[in-house]
Parts: sequence; structure tokens; C-alpha cells
Amino acid sequence: MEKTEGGLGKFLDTLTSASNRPLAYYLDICTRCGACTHACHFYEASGERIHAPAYRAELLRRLLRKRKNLIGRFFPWFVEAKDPDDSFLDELERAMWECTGCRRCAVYCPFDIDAAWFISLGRKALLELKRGPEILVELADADIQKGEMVDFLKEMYVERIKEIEERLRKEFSPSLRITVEQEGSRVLYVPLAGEHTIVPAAKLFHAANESWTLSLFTASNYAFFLGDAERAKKMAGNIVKEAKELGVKVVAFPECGHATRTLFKFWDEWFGELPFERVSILQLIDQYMKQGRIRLKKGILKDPVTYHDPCNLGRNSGLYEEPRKVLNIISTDFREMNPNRKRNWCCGGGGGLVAVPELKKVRMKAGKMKVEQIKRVGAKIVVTACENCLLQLRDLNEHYGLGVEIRSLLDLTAQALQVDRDSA
Amino acid sequence: MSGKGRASALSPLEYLLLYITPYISVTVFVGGIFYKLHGWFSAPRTSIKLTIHPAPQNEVSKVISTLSDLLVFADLMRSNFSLWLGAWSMHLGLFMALIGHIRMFYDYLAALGIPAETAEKISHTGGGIAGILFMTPLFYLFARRWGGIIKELSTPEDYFDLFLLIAIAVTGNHMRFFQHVNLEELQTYFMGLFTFTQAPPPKSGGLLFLLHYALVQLLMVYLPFGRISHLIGGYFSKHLTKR
Repeated sequence: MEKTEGGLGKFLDTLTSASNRPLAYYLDICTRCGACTHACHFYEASGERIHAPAYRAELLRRLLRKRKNLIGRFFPWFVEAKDPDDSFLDELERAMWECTGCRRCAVYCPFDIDAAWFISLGRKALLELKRGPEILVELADADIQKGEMVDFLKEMYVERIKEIEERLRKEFSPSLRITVEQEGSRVLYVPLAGEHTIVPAAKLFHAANESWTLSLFTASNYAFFLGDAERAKKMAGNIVKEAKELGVKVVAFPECGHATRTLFKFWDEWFGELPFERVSILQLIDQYMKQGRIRLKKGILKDPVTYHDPCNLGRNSGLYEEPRKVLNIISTDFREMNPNRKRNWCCGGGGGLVAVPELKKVRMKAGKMKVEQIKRVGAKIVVTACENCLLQLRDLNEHYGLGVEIRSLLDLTAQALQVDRDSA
Repeated sequence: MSGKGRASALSPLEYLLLYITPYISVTVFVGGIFYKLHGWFSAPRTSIKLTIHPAPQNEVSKVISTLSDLLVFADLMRSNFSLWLGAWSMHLGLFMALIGHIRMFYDYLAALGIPAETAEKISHTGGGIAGILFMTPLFYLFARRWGGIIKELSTPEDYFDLFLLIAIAVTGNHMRFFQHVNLEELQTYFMGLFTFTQAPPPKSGGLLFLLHYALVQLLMVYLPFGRISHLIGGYFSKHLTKR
């Protein structure tokens, strides 16, 4: 992370020009009661003030008060309104980037103040000063470029998919089909970069006899982690355009926390009315089960199983029960960690942190609360439904020597599918 | 304090606090609230949903959910029990005391046909409980700001607020427990303010009344512009996560 390089004006402009209702409330009504401090897994693990959610927000608020608030302008010392200097920015940088945006703090706050809302703004502003993990910026740039070169890459991609299809026809079912951007399909499935998000989905859709096709794009949105609404919208816009051109009825997102959250919570703001339904693959699994289109083998997992609610799928999107229904069928010993669902502890891998090598130490420390939960529940298999959680939990497993298996729900579902192998 | 029944026998400071500043404080208070609301509502709405799940499904249950959460500080109760205990009892005491204060402007107890002596007892007991309930947690809330992460979070404003509230509570409780402040004198004085005539200040209130009154006016002038605006803004902020 680099030092301040000119652009302080741009940094301050970015902060002061942001104007929306949530920010307006959050700027004034925080009473600094500190209820949020014990909500944050970073703070619980480190005890450092920069990890207390209200403190993170306060750093930005102190800058904003100097410019936006009456008392802040005329009596700045009263509300600690200030101008940024290098040491302030050093602290701010850590406070903004050592956060997963899980919003557990908003649950604890008496006013539901969303500190992650500040994180988003702070990251965007800090990047004007080049204060932030370069790799995230590079990943976001690469994704945007890929979006622009999509026709050029299409042939290569289709070839690769054909190979996967061949393999699955031999291993799974001879009539399995994977198409790419097929017009007239009902469902457009947008995977992540990795065949582990395509293979189990293909099996699922085949078993459910679904009319589906694969997107050329991936669901993950690195610009989102940068607080860059413009570029995040541009990346998601590729998928919207594709879906409209193909005339699909449903856009289905994979096991990706932040992408699913943007699908349900941000796309309305970015795109307005859309001519298709938006679902998570978890909801499709649930629908197929309810409609009797798929059947799952009962009790195939003999070891104790638990489920880790990804913050972005759980408290931020509401998908609590769908994975549990599956797990209750396919396992003989399903156990809940405590707390779970809304108050579940974040694994520490969100907010783009899993992709940043220099933040590994921090996120291993931040995962402490999660590790203790896993130890207490005594499960041998920890299931989750978010790619970043998967990676983080696997790292935690190794780092803390937990000796558990980390599995994806979609993968387990595909494994448990009852399929008539002779169907043509 | 002189106050021998004629307003002109008061010192300039007393005169200022009794007959000039009250109008200013009320105006600044009401105007300030509108200014604050205007500031909040002129910020553009966003259709980005900040939902915290599970969230109620229809509009009515959303409003009820927000209100009931705020009434008992439900989230705080589950998040930090000792803070909840302090904060909720303090606010409860405050609102009980405020309801009692209405009797200075409009005697609802008399309007309900309750005889003066009984009303006096109700005010004394209820007001006494309210006063203790309001004042005691303030010391706890103040003390916790002197160490740990709460100290790092706190700004000078936070200490000022608590100090101001403690001073208001102590002066108010002194009048409640150790002085017999005559309700009629209070009513006469305030009626004078409403009618823009200068009625004499409550003699039985003495210096402590003046102090309490001045502190409350200071609170009114400051409230809309500081963090105590959470009294108004808290509802809107909380409601965002129900959408």
C-alpha cells in the first residue's frame, strides 16, 4: 500500500460529493455507544481501535464534519472534526481495508447504522491516493477488459466448455448438455471463474431437466470491493445485456456472496425494471426440490455436518433455510453453530480480502471467532455456499489445524442427486 | 434570588434567562429540527437495499417492527445487555419526567378530575422515580467513556452531553426531593410566556430553578445540531434495514 501521492483534493472531493440518505443519517446520529465493537470479528480478535466499526466510520465522519456539519465547521474541536494528514491516512487505510463488509455491526447498532456503507466510500476515496491493495484494482481492471474482449474470447471459452461437457457425458449422463449463450433458454446461469462452479450446476440442471445456458461472463464483481459503483455497474451490465439479448426468463447466480447481494440489493438501483427474474442457485435447488424435479439421496454424509452462513447470502440476502433443507436430507448428523443465521460470525474472507496476499495474516486473525465456533460444534464437515468463504475456511482449516473438510453446498447437492443414468 | 413578585426587581441575567432566551431557545430548537430534517430529506434516496434479514414483508409490519425495536431498544438488549440496561432506564426516566413536566403547561391530572392533593402525590412519587431512573444510569454512561475502546470513540461532544444531562438531572432532582416547588407558580410563569406577558418566576423554585431552566435551554439550542438528534433520526436510519 503506497503513501500519499498528491490527489488529496480528489480524495476529499470524493468524500464530500457523496450524497445519499443513508449517509446523511449515519453522519449525524451515531452516539458512539460502542454496541458495535463486540459485533466485529476483527475487533474481537485484535482489540485494536481501528477495527471497531464505529471508529472506522468516525474516521470518515471526522473528515466529513469539518465540511458538512454546522458544529463541525465552527467548533471542529467539539466534534473532533479534522483535516487528513499522513498518519491519519495511514490509520484510515487500515480501517477501510481490514474489513469484510459483513454488516454484522449494523445488526448490533441500536440504529442499524451500516459501517460498511462508510467502508465503500472510504475505499473509493483512498484509491484516489493509491492507498489500497493493488491486486484488487488489477483484478477489477482485468475483468472490465475481459468484458470488452468477450467476442474475442468466446471461441476459446466454448471449446473449454465442450471439453467439460464431454467429460460429464462419460462420467455423469450421456444426455447432459452445456450450451453457451443459447437463445431461448429459460435460465441463464452465470458461473464464477472455475469449473467447480460449472460442473455441479450442469449436473443439477440436467437432473431437473432445466432449459438453461451458460453465460460468457462471471458473476463476481471486483469493482464492488473497491466501492466503485460506476465500474461495478458496468461489469454487471454485461450480464444484463446478455440476458436481455438471449431473452431468458431467469438469471441465476452461483455460490458467490457479494455477487448475489448485488443481484438482489443493487441491481434495482443500477438497472431499474428488468424483464427477467433474479435468483440464486440455492433458490433453484429449493424450487426443484419443492417441484419434485430433483431427488436427493438421504443420509449420505455420516460425519457431523454444520453450515456456515455466508454473511452476504444470509443477513444481507435472506437465504438461510434453503441450504439447511438440503443438509437436513443428505446428512445424518446436522448441527448448528452458535450463533447462526443473522448473528453468525463472519469467516473473515469477504470484502475482497481473500485475493490480497498482504492481508492474509489479518484475515487469519479475524477468523478466530469462526474457528472457535467450528471447534465448539464438533463438526467434521463444514458446508458453505460462498466462494470466498470456501477459500477462507480452507485457509483457516490449515492455519489453525482444524482437521475438518470444507464443502460447497452446490457440490454436495450434485453429489447427492438421484439420477437415472440410462435416460437418453 | 430577588424575585419579590415584580419582574423589574430581577437582575439583568435573570431577566434575560426568564423572558428573552426562552423564546430564542424554542425557536432555535424547532427551527433546528426542521433544518436537520431538511438536510436529511434533501439527500437523494437510493434504491440500494440495506436490508438486514429477516425483514418484515409488508409496509405496515415494517413500521411496527421499527417502532417496537426503538421502544424497547431490542437490538441493544441482545447486543450489549449492561449498556441496554443503562441506556433504556435512562431514556425511560427521561420520558417519564417529560410527561410529568407537561403539567406545568397543561394540568392533565386536574383535567381528569383528580384532586390536587392526590395529583401532588402522583407527581412526587412518579417524578421521583423518573428522576432517579434518569439520573443514575447517566453516571454509568459517563464513567464508561473514560476507558477502553469507548474512550477512543468518544469526542468532546459525548462528554459534554452527559455532563449537561447529569447537571439537568441533579438540579431537577434537587427541586423534586429537597424543595417544594409550587405548581401554580410554575403554571403562572409559563402561561405568562405563552401570552407574551411577564409573569413572575416561581419563587419556590429559587436559584435551582433558574439553573435547571438555563441548562435545559442550552440543551434545546444545541440538540438539533448534535448527536442527540438521534432522537429523531434513529427511526429513519433503522427503517432503512427493513426494506
